[in-house]
Amino acid sequence: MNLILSFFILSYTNFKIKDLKGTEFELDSLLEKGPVILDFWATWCAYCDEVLDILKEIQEEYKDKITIVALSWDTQKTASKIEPLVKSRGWDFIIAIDDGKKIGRSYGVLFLPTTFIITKEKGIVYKKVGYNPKEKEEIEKVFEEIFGKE
Amino acid sequence: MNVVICFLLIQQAGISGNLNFDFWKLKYEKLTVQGPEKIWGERYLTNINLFPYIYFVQGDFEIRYINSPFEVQQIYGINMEKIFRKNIKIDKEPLKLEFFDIYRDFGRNLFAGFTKDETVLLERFLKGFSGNLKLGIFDFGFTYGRPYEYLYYSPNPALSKDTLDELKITEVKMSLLPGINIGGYHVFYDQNIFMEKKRAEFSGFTADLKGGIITIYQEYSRRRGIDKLIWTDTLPYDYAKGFANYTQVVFSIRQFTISTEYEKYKKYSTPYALPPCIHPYGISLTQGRDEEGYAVNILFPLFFFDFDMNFSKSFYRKDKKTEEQKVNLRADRYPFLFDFTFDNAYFKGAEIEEGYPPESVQKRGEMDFKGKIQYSFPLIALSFGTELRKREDIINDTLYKYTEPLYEFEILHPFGFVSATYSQDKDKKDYYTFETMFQIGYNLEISLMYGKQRGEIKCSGGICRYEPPFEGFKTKISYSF
Repeated sequence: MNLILSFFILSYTNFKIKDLKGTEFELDSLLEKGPVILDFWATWCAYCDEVLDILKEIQEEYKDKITIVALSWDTQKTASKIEPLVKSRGWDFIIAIDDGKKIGRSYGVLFLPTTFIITKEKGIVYKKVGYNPKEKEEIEKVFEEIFGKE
Repeated sequence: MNVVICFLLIQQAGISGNLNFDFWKLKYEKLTVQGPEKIWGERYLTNINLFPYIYFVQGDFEIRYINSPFEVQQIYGINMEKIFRKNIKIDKEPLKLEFFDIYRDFGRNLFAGFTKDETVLLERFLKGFSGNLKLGIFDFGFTYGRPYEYLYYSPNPALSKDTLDELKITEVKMSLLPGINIGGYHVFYDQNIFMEKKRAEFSGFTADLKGGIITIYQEYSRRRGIDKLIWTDTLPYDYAKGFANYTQVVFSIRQFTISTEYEKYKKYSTPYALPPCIHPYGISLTQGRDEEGYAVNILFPLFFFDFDMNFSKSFYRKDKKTEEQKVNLRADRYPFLFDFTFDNAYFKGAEIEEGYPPESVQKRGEMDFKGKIQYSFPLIALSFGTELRKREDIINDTLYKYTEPLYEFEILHPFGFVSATYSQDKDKKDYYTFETMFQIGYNLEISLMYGKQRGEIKCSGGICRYEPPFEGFKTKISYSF
């Protein structure tokens, strides 16, 4: 049974990436501190900023317990829009460009936005393709399972 | 059962990946003795990606199987079958080494770049290796690649298509101070033209400066050769001397951003994609006769709206021109989301083909109004959009004026989305699509699409690409592990 269950557990791909400020991050090191929310987005994607606004609320709620990494699929041309958008919306996450969609490809991302929650022990424990207004509650439920009800 | 065991072993070994399956049932045009005839065809594409990560060695392996009628392959640009491709990266400071097989992404700051669509082609054509060695403030890089089979590549040297035979790049980058990066590169681009091996040689420098509110990117490149008169545009330049320049300046003060871009090509490289446009990655090696262009982008918030304004113009001598002015207004006031766009574009000599038999549109003026309103309920969000496109085409020196409406409706639900679109062209031909995507658990995604889409050149933000027509049914199943 465990074997069959493990068939449905998603493992994650480790990656190293430099954020917009030039600081390098490695997923494995971030996971040492706690769960990571990995979000794929772009400035031209209509629903991506809705998801990022939800993640902002989640970050305020869980503060240092979690890390949020938002990887953009913007090209160099639209990349100049990232910083102003990030500043105006107050998204205080690790924001980086997934150059050539390489990381997205390794996570099987086909649509934007796509959001993952990854833990060191269980790998990918949540995946959401697209946006829906109930996403905050769904993510909270996952964290309740991880951290227990507070 | 064997498949399940195989997947379990893969998981236990710390390998992630995805399995994709595409199936298309489509109508396409086939030339018969009675003339062109629409017949049904099928296209299958299976694709397995594996991403093992062992210490500092990363791999990316892909096994691909494609089966479709030759005519379908011609339209959708895939003429490869049963492909096994691999990409292995060794990353151990200070050295990075990558062995790639039909997969290599080139980007800005590396060397003369390629446009997004060219990247798609290049993804399929090179096999070789590349590496980077960091020594203090220096970062040395090299790339060697040979073409593999890809859309416009012909292994027959007698054909004068895109004939790249070998690519060699050496580069050096220096981080002088935080925010100041400069670099230089040298490229050998060997081609086969009419059975003869010809070498194109490029060298250039890049400067990337970032300080406070201003970011400057500058790239200048020269093509080595003799100063000669070019009397035809149909062949790649043969030992002609040329140059290319790309400059981007971005000011960003709080939430206000202004970005300006300028590019100029003079007898630089191989024939370009049409119509002319500004390239997001700087100089493009596959561009460049006497093309020139500029773009301005302004982004700022006003009350609860985000304004995004774009102006771009690019032209090739007096023969070809693309001009675009675009304003986008967006407001996110939960539960409402408003998105309005006005786009005014002008194309001249852009090789736009319309109707049947394809007639060449000499000039096109296009005004496009788009509006979208979304309302979010507790569980689902509903979105309604409409577009009105007003065109003035000159075909065979005759002016045609017409409008084309488009409506779209979308439901976003917790497991995916359902959408429907309807549009009409100048001949009152109907186009429609129904699309849905469902996510089942965390592993499985299924998307289905049925409809009829027109083939056309789509331009956005200075980048233009041709999307082929499609009529039929598409399904995509993606399984992640």
